[in-house]
Amino acid sequence: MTPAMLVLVAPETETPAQAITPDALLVRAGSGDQEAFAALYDAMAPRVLGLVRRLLVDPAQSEEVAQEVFLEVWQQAPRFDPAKGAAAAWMLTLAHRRAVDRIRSAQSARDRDVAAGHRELAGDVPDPSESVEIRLEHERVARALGGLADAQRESIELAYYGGLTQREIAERLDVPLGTVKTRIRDGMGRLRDALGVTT
Amino acid sequence: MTERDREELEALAAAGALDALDDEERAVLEGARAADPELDRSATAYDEAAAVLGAAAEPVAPPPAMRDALLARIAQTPQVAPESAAAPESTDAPESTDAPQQTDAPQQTDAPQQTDVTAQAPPSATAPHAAPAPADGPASERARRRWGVRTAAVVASVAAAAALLVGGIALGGGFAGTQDTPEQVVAEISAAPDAQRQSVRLDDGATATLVWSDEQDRSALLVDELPALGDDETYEAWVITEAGISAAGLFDAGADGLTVHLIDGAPAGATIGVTVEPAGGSDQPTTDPIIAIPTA
Repeated sequence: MTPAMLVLVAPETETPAQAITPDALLVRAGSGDQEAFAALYDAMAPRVLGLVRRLLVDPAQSEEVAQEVFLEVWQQAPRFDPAKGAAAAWMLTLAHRRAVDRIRSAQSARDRDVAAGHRELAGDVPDPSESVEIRLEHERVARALGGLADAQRESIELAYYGGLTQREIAERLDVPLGTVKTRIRDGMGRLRDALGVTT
Repeated sequence: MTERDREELEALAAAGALDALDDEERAVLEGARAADPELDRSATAYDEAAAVLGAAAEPVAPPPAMRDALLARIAQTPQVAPESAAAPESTDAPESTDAPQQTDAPQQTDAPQQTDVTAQAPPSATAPHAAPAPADGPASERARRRWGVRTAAVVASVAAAAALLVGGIALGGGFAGTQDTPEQVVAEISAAPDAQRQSVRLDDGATATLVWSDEQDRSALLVDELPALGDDETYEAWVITEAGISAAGLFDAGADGLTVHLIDGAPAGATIGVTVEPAGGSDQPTTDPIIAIPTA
């Protein structure tokens, strides 16, 4: 089931496309509709770039990767099936994957300040300029993360926002790999339930 | 499947949603998802939970130039054929599942970890003063032996390959051009329904990727962070088969940290290699390979 909250609209978009969901736009883009793709870009680019920036930190690299993501979205659009998941979730999944690929292919994880991508979400003060949707989402995620044990949240954040593998997390925290795996499995299970994502 | 296997796959799916798996684990997960609808549903739920984490990241407004460049680019970029019922994400799966199969390669004794393709290449291979190979036999024989050994070093880093590939397009710049730039050819090959790719990770963490299409009968080699050579040297690509080694063109390191070299024809199971040769190229390799990408 797709959580309704993943039907995202851009914070500051006022084009008519705002009324159309990313799902519908991606389906249209899949038939070669470049205008629909442009509208999809307008709706999703700040999200995609925001996520990539969170991982890569460097603005120029982040823009490059975000652009790669959208090019891949365009190429793969004909195979998008809304029945199998929301367009926004798929695009964010892809963006995350490509950002992590970039981290690992450049092997720059070591050189990066992982802490920069590893901010305490739960402790973030909402930016008043953020749109209501974003803020609600932010609070919801913060609450869900807040429901995790500290150790679970730490491992999940190092993985998702830090771009580390489980092995790297184990090394960084100096705990056995099996412990990290357990924390992530249990933590993700709780997160899935808390966020209303069910199978 | 035992209860323990099931739990391990669940754990793999949970970590996979965070992209916290290494290449080998990722390949195992993709294969298991493809074979097990129940696991696939479960993994999808983890993926969506992770996407919610992604949605909570602070949005960043992209520069207007990014939009213009992208829209110009897609106007020239073909899309994949829709016939596959697969969701977009799962297009990675068939390639990912190749990874475990490579453990069956005759010379492969290790798990498909990155045992450094260039580990045995002398530093001179990328330095301006590469010494000619010692004359202890035909260069091609030695090269083939070396490449054969290196088959074991392949890592099918599909995700990395895809990133590099699309990265190549972006890094190529030149969005304004309408000619078939190498980057454009790469995009066309990779958009072919039968496009295939294979990657190896090099010693320094860089990646070399070959993408090809039998239908289009052409291939493209992409290498990131290839060092520039002096005027007296050149990179030369080779097609290595049981029958022998044939030259596949000379090229220089790309300007933007990414090198693209186009090769006529699909590899048809051959190994594609790269050596550093004297300016003007050689008939047969004279130095140790710095890259070898098996496609069998």
